[in-house]
Formats: sequence, structure tokens, C-alpha cells
Amino acid sequence: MAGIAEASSRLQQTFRPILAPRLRMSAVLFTIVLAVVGFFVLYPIWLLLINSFQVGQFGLATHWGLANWHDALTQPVMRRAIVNTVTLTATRQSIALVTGVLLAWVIARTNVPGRYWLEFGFWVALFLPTLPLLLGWILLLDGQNGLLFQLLAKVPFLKIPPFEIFSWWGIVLVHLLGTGVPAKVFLLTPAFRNMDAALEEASLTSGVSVKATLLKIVVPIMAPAILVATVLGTIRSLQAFEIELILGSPAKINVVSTLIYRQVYQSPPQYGSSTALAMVMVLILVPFIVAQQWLTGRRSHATVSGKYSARLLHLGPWRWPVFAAILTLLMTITVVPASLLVMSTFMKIFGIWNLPNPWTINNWLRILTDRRLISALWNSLFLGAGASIVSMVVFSLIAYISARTKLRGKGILDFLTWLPSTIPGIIIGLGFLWLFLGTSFFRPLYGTIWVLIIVATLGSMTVGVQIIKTNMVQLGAELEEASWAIGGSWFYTFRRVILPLVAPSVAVIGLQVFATSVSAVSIVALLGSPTNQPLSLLQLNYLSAGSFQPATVVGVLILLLTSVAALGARIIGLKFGLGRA
Amino acid sequence: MVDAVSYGKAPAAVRATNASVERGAVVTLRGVTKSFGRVEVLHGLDLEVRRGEILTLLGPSGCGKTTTLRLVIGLERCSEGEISYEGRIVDSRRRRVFVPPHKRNMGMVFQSYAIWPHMTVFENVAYPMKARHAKSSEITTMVGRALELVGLGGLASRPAPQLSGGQQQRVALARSLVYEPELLLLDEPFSNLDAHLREEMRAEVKVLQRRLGTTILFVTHDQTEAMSLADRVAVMDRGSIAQIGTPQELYGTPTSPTVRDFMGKTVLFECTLLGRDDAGLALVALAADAGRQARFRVSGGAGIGIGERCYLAVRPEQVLVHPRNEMAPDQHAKPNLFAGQIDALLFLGDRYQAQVRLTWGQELLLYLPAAATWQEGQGVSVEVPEDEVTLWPA
Repeated sequence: MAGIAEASSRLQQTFRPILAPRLRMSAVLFTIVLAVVGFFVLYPIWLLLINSFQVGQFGLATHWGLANWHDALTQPVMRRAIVNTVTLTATRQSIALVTGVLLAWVIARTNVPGRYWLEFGFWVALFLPTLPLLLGWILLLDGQNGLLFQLLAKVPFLKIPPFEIFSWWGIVLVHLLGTGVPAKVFLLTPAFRNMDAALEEASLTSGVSVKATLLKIVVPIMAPAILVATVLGTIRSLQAFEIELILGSPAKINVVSTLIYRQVYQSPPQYGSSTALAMVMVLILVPFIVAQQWLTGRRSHATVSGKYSARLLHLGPWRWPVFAAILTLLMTITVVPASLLVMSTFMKIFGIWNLPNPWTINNWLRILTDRRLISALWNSLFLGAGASIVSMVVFSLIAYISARTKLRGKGILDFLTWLPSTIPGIIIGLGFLWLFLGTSFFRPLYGTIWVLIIVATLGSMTVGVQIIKTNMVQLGAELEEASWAIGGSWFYTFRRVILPLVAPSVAVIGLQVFATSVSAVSIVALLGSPTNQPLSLLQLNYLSAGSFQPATVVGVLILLLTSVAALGARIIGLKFGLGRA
Repeated sequence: MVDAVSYGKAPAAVRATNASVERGAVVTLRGVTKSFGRVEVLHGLDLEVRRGEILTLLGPSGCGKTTTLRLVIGLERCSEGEISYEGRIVDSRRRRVFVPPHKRNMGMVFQSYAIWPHMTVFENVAYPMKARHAKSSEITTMVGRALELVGLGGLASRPAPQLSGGQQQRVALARSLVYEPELLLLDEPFSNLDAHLREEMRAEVKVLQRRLGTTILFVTHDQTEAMSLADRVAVMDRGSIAQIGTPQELYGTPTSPTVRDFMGKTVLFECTLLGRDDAGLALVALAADAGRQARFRVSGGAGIGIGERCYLAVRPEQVLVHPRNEMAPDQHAKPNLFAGQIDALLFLGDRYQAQVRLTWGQELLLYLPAAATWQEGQGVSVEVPEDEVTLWPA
């Protein structure tokens, strides 16, 4: 912290007196923000690193040593988890990449009907909460009772290919449909749309067919964007947690994040080896994190000249078939699992369709009486609202400092804001567990909802700050300077010019943070306790205990809360014409 | 995926059955209409590009000139009418014929140049040759020749993003010339260059075209560019061709106010036609200046009846301006000489531009020779030459 204090005092000296009041104020603010963000981002990671070398049972005498690391790298169960993490990620990313590039190209560059609605559909698929939808998938694809296979069995002369969702390929499939492909489409479509159509057309007029043009011109030119999307997707895949936990359990498939979770919750808890495992995970991530920083820092060469046209390719007779195919895919990944989930809340036994009378409304009546459920609902609302308010204030401050000031050390703040998005939620959770259990000052917070609010805010920080910052940059410094020039004070300017202009984007962030906090699982999984348990953890506990029926109602509640918040964000965003991040 | 614009099964291009080939037309558009949704941007366009000529499509933005170009190469498809190229119909909805752009063997240079950033100069230019499955030795020779032609001989291995605007322009040109297409289409190719480079490239393209004999269809909104480059100019207005002819014809004898104003600046005087004789001389009474009568040798305005109100139009560079105090007193009485005063003087280097206010308050933007000395507030006589004016209906 000494460095920061020194930096801020140097700042104050270098600025001319006439500007001093405004700049001194922002410098003080900057120091506080930097210190708080720095503490919550870096200290838990530091604790993890330290404790990975602490050998011995938690709470008993410990000594320094490499035993945890030795366990992490040599125990077969851990080695298998690392191998699973890597192979699952590689499989998912390669399939998602090919599909995503093709879909993004069709939506952005061709005259497929309703392309804006199709893009919106993939956005919906992306925000839909993972765990609730997973129930829908299980209902559909379960090897024994899955609806799809029961229906297929009724078709004569059709031999059904055996597929079990509780398997390695089940994990791959659910990830691809839930986030893998939608995320690629979401990231790549705007990039494809911004490509100069003349680059394609020049190839056509040179005598090259559309198919060859896609391979020889479009994909190579889009390579930087595709690479960024791949690296981001890889980081996300390596962080995945809840799908692996539920679908991997019966087949005893572990990945690093689920193994960390199991080791913390087993008795006695294996804090030492789980912490070492977390550090192994961070090491696996480092090359991708470096690649991401390098790629985004580099200027993309996607457009050579500034002017471009965005004309579309005609699909001719393929127009409607292509539309129908994409629409079917969209329905399959959104409406189908969501409706199955809602349907399942009225079932007596989850997934058992062939009871004499499978339907009941008792599951919903239980809401009124089950105190665990009611308290979880309140916890979720409190968590969402709290994280949302904290985010709006803190993210705007960070964005303002980053976009509008020329303070030295701003780069450190940018780095700190970006770091949490690269670290798996379960590892952030583990770091905070060390923080809250191991630091006497913070121990009273453990088990309160505030713990969850802090980590949920941290988990949304990168995207949230980025969106507000983009909005502020777009506004242009002139608007602010014009107000100062005509005699508006810094505060007056902030209140009358900046705040009203960025308010819509801040509101959007508030709603988005609400949605992500309510459905967050991995980042809060290790910090939940009976007192602060939100809906998402209640559902996780039901699911990992194998009781699927009560989980369905919880899932629908989460789905409702996140959908309302996300749609609200979308509507505000569209109304004020905000660009996406 | 699928071909860009192939609708249904199109039979191989059909032989056009008219005589346009013998007349030397490379491309013929007949009754071409193009709609985007409910908006019709081209209405029954007829156009012929003759072998070896530079034909320029000139018009304001949104007049349909770029759409015409894109129809010719096949990046868009006609809604009605047909297009034939080298005697073969390449686009006709009625005959269910459509040849996609990559099978038309024309060249096109785009406004944004569309240089592929992931390739070197050589790879960019070699791309169409590879698409035609040329032998690698042939590719090297042809690419080298094309680059030599546009003056980029030494830059073959340079990556595309490291090129300046003018160099990108030349690469785009080389890329569309390397396979020696019969027809080259240029879509506002110079609009992204600075003024100096633009003039240089114009001259270069014309020299190149004269040397290779390639037919060029050129689109621009810049009338100077159109006139200086073209053998023939077609002025387009709201989806149809307003007038087509040599630049001199269009500049000197425009047939509509749109063409007149688009081809250059015009000075207008409101007047009434009093009479005309067989030799083309017309007597008019100016609306201003107490109905002063003047006689001009006019062209156009055939439909204007005696006693009708009309406009006298003259190009500003034809108007002569004399310092008033240097003229003999009797000259002031000449009917085509108007008194005025210089309100503002702008030095352009080779001449002056002046805002001149006539005695009845009309303001004209005129050119003055740089040789004489001028000052603001000076009294001048404005002489409208007797045989350089055209007459237009009010």
C-alpha cells in the first residue's frame, strides 16, 4: 500500500494548483477504490498461495511443506481430474468453435430471415441459468427415463442410439447447448457484422465461390476475433463447475473444480490439498490469461480502411431452410428445457412419466410452508439487490476513473478489474473461505449474506465495469469539458452531465448483476451455510443429494428472477441504444 | 454453404439474340428494374457499354449508380429486365438465368479497395489467378506484370496492412486486371484518396486503359472526375438515366436542369421570352433591372412560347467581369452588360473567385482573372457572352 500512497502524493504535486481541488479529490477517491479492489482481488489469492504450502489438518498444528502440491500432482484421483478438465475443455471448444463461426457468419452476413431475433435468441440462451435448465435436460435425455428416448421407443423399426446424460459426453452436450455455442455466437456475430462486405465481394468478383470465400477470406480475416472468442471460451470451460458436479457424480467423473468442492465438504475437510489443486488450476489458466491479454491488447487488423459496407449475401432458396434449422436449435436450447423444467414442478416423482397419475400441485404448495425455501428466496432477493446496488456504485467509480482520468497507476486498477473473470469461481470462493475463516477481523462476516454479496460483486466486476466504461468513452470528453468551460464545478458537471448520460448503462448493470448473482453457483458454493443459503445453493444441495423433485421448484424460481431482471436490462439497453460490451 | 445468388436451377447463359454484339457492346442492360423490398431504386434502365470505352455513371448518392454496377457484376440480381455480357444473357428473371459473380469473369475495384489484410501484395493479386487454376509459373509472370503495370513492382512481398491508401488502390487495380477481364468495374475508387493523389490516379487509370484497351464502367459522384476520365458520361437521377453523351455534350448542351446543375455551376437570370428568329437568336426581357431587353444566341428552351417566363443560364467561367472605371462610357449601355460591385474576394491562386452583387440585388459567384488587381467594394461590369447561354422553362 505504500506504493499507492506515494503515487497519490506524487500525483498531487505534479498537478497545477488551479486544477488541484478536482484532481486531488479524484486522486483520494482513486486511492481508496484501488486499495479496496486490490484487497478483495489479491488477498484471497495470496492466502491460497500461502496455504497451499501449509501442511496439516485445518485448526490443528501445521508446518510448511510441499505435501499438498505433491498430493495434487501425484494422487490418481487428482491427476484424473486435471486430465478430465483439459479434455472436456478441448472437446467442447473445438465443437463450439466450428458451430459458432458458422452460425455467427449466417446471422451476420447473410439475408437469413429474422436475423436480429435469432441473435436475440442466442442471447437468451446465454443468460438462462445453468442449473435450472440442467433439470430440463436431464428430463429429456436421461438414459432410462428420458422423455426423448421414451418417445423414440414408441416409433416402430427405430433403433435408438443409447445415450446417457450422466456421462462425459452428457457434460459436453449440456455445456455446448447451454453456453458454449451461444457464447460464440454472441461474441462473434458483432465482429462478423463489422467486417467490410467488399472483402467478401472482391473474392466473389475475382472468381471464387461463396464456400471457398468463407474459408479463404472470411475466416482468416476474422481470425483475431475467433481467437479471442476461443481463449475466452477456454477460460470459461476450465472454470465450469455445476454441470460437472451433477452429471459427473454417478459416473465418478471429476474435474478440478468439483474435486476442490468435494474436498472442502468431505469430513474432515481437505483444505490443504484442495488449495494446492486450486493453484494447479491457476497455473493451467496462466497461458490462456496471457494469451487473452496479448490478443486484446493488440490492434486487430480486421479492417484495413475505415469505410465499409455491410451488405448481405443472398442465400437464395436456402434462406428458409437455414432459418428453420437455426430456429429449431434455438428452441431446443431455450424453450424445450425451460418448459420441461416448469412441467417437472408438477410431477410427483421427477422424471417418472409412467405413473398412473404423475401430476400434483403439492410441490408448489410446499413453498408456503417450507421455511428453508422461503428463507432461501429471501436470501436470493437480498443477495441480488445487495450485489446490484454495490456494483452500481463501485463499478461506476472504477469506470469513471479508468475512462475519464489520467491518473498514474490506472493500469493497475484495470488489471485488478479484469483479473476476477479469469479465476474460476470455486477458487475465488476458496480464497474467501480462507479470508473469512483465517482472518479474525473478517470472521464475524462468515455465514452472513454480506460474504455472498462481496463475491458476487467481484464475479460480475469485469463485464460490468467494461460496459459502463464503454458508455463513458463513447460520450466523449468534450461533453464534460464543455460544462467545465462554461463554469460548472466538478460535482455540478458530474451530477448534471455525466450521471444522467450514463444512468441507463448503470441501471442495465444493476439488473444484470442481480440476474447473475441470483443464479451464481460456483463462486458462492463454498461460502454458503444454512443461514445465508440462497436459492441457487439450495438447488445445488438438493441436486447433489440426488433429490431432484424439490430442486425443480427452486429452479423455476431462479429462472423467473433471472429472466425478469435480464429482460429488464435488455429493454433499458435497447431503449437507450446502448452498445453491448 | 451455398452460392451467393443462385436462385433455382439456371440453365447455362443463353445467347442474346439481338445485334448489340455486332455494334460493339460489351454489356447491355435492357429495361432493368431493381427493388429492395418495396423501394424501387432502378426503373427500367437501358444502358450499353461499348467495347474499349470508359463509361462513367455520374449522379448524387442514392441515384442507383452503384446498384447498377453491382447488377452488372452479379452482386445483386435484377428484379425485372435483363443484362447481357459479351452476347450472353447473364441475368434475367424471366428466362430464369443468373450467372453468379464468380463465373462472370469481370474485374471490380471497390470503394474501400477491399485488400485482404491477411495476405501480402503478391497473394492478393495472385488470388484470382489461383481461383482460375493457373500454373504457378504463369501466376508469377502475370502477377509480376500486373504489379509492374500499376507501378508496384518492388512491393510484392509487403503485407497488405502496411500499404498506404494510394498503394492499396494500385493493388486493387492490379488484382482486378491480372486475369485480363474484358470489363473492369470501378466503384468510386478514388473517393478515399487525397485531392493530389486522386488527380494522379485518374491520369494513370486513363493511360492504363488506353494501353490495355479494357472496357471500363466507372461510378462516381464527382463531376470533374467523370468528365476528365470518361469517353461517355451517363448522368443518373432517381433511378434512371437523365442524359448520356460525351462530357462536352453534357456540359455544353444539357437537356435537363438536373444534368445542367450536376455537370457544373450555373448562373441564372429570370426573364421573359419576347421573340426568337430562325438563326437561334432570342430576345428576352430581364425580370430585374426595369425589364431591360437583351438579345442572345440561345440553345435549348424550344418549348418556351413567346411571352412566357423563363430562365437564362450561363456557366460562371463564361461570364466576363470588367473593372467599371476602365470601360468607355458608351459600353455601359450594352444590353448584356450588368453593373455590380464586388462584395467579397477569394484568392484561389490561378484566379479569383468573387461574390458580385448586381444593381438589383442578385448575387453571383464569378471567377476573375488573377492578372488584374481587384478589391472588395470595387464597381464592376458583368458581361454575359451573347452566344454562351441556354434558355430554360421557369
